[in-house]
Amino acid sequence: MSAVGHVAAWAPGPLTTAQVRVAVADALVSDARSVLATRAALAANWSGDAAQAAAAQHAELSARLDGLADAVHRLGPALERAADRLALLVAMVRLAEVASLEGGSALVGRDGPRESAAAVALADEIDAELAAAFAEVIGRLGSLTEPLSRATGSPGSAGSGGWAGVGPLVEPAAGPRAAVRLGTAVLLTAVPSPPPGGDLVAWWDGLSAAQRESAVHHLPEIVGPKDGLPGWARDRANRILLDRAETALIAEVATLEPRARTWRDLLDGAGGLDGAVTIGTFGGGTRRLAYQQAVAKLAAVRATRQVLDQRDGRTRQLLAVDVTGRTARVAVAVGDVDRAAHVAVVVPGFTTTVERDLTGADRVSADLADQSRRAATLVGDHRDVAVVSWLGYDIPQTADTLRSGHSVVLRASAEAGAGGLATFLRGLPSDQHVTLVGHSYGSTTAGLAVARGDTGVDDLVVLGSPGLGADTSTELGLPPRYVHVLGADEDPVADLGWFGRDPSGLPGVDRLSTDNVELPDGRTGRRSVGHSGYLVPGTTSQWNVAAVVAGAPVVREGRPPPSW
Amino acid sequence: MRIGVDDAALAGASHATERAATLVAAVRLGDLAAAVAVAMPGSRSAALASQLAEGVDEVVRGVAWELAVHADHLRTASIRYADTESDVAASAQTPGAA
Repeated sequence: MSAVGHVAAWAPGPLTTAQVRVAVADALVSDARSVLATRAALAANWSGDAAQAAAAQHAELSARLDGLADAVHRLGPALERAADRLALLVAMVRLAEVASLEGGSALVGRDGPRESAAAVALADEIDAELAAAFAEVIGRLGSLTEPLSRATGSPGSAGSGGWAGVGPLVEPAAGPRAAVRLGTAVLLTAVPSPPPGGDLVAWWDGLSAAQRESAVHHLPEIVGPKDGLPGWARDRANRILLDRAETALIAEVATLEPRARTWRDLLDGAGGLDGAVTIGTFGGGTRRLAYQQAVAKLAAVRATRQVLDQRDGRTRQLLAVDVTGRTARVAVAVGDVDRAAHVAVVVPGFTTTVERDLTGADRVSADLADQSRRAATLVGDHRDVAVVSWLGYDIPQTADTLRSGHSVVLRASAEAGAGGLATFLRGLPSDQHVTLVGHSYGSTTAGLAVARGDTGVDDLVVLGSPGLGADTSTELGLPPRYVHVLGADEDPVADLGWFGRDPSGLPGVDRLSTDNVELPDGRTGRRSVGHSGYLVPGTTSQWNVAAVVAGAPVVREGRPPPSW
Repeated sequence: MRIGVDDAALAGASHATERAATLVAAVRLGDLAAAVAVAMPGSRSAALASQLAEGVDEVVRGVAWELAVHADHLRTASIRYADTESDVAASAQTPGAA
């Protein structure tokens, strides 16, 4: 039997976390069952000993997966019920404390905790019930740990009918535990293990073409996020990670979905109080916030998939995806960053989110790539262009304005994002012409990234910038003429100078026009107005950005810089 | 003459089995044990949660391993069938071949 003093330390919150973990595991196993059942069916016209052996193995694995799914599936309801009843227990202890202070009958007296039959009985009941559920699952798992029967041989093993002398093409290196250690199905012998904490680019460079294919497929969590690896490999690995993220977020949303709770709900099955008192959604703000974030991240994953799945004849590469933070972060390229001679990386600013804005950002990138190709053609350059929408940092949102870590009026988010951006830029091929384009708060992030040095950025373009975090152009580490500044009429942000001096006033920078003027290709560029029109097709500002990306002629600002 | 086994279907089955292995291998329940230990310190449930997480981990590793090996066997089969089909086709075109 438990003592009240001991039980007073119990809390339902962590069980809710456990429920999320179990829901994710449940979803993963369900997905695996579904894949095995629907897509791994063997060829109907395959017969003979090898086919029979394969079919037997398939059936045995399906049964084993069913067993695992059944075991995991039992954990969620058990944890949920325990969490609900633990909340009741906590409430009972709190009420008793209040009663004690008021001199009434107490669970906790002046001399310390006293035994309380009701609370202790409930605690014991919760523990016994949850322990029984765990014990049952442990028992079920026991039958699933034996190795599969190989009595019938396997289709690839030596001596099996029709396949004598043909062994598996690959053999796992060091047994099951080593093979699955990195969270992958199996590491092929031919793929050396990545060095823990070592140089992954050197590891990658040492792989053969076949090994790289295998690494992408089997080690997506290593290949996908690694700046410096080729875009094609990261793209394929990140698409696998995107699938996984969606699966996990679906489960997380389902688990955290708010439900109305009452005392009656909590006491259901506990033989408890009559006369329900509504106490609202249990779990409070933390759970609600986690739910809102999971919903937003799931929407972000789906928006990313929509962008990638467009059938408009353009190549797209998913260069980064991360849903582990409070918001989703992605980087999507229009064009092939491995083959492009000119690469632009566009960093958006305040209030941008993946779920709401990635589609628009991708459209802007596609238009910018088209315009850059036209501009390049003007100077006889017919090489490829790629434009990356880099939403890879924790972009400040309106609701964050009063939060010191994420506020748009502070540079904390920009500084944090600058580190990741600089690493991303250093990972691009060194022989490319790289242009970094920052809009609004994104220009601050971009400026701080370039100031870190050695990013490989050739040109920095800032649009409607509140400042680059620098008071002099030398602080940026780029020659002034490679810093291109555009500030449109009626764009108040461009004149703020909030993070260092207004960039258009930095000595020597290249100030580009946003006016109604004739463009180098003979067309007339439209004037940009306000904070959000810089990359609208047909504007002078969009031409100028494209021209910098392509190394083509620009139209410079005719008006004098602001005086200081 | 054709062998008639659909090697592409076998390759697809191999790929799907690998995908299933990858999904299973991603299952982690170590956090479960830690969470129960924090939620109900000193309880029997906390002790069993640790045992449970280890059990799930062991089954997950085993099943993922078996799935991966099965996928590899299927891939081997698909490649061998495809090669044999090509050999048969080539020999059929050779003058004097049966």
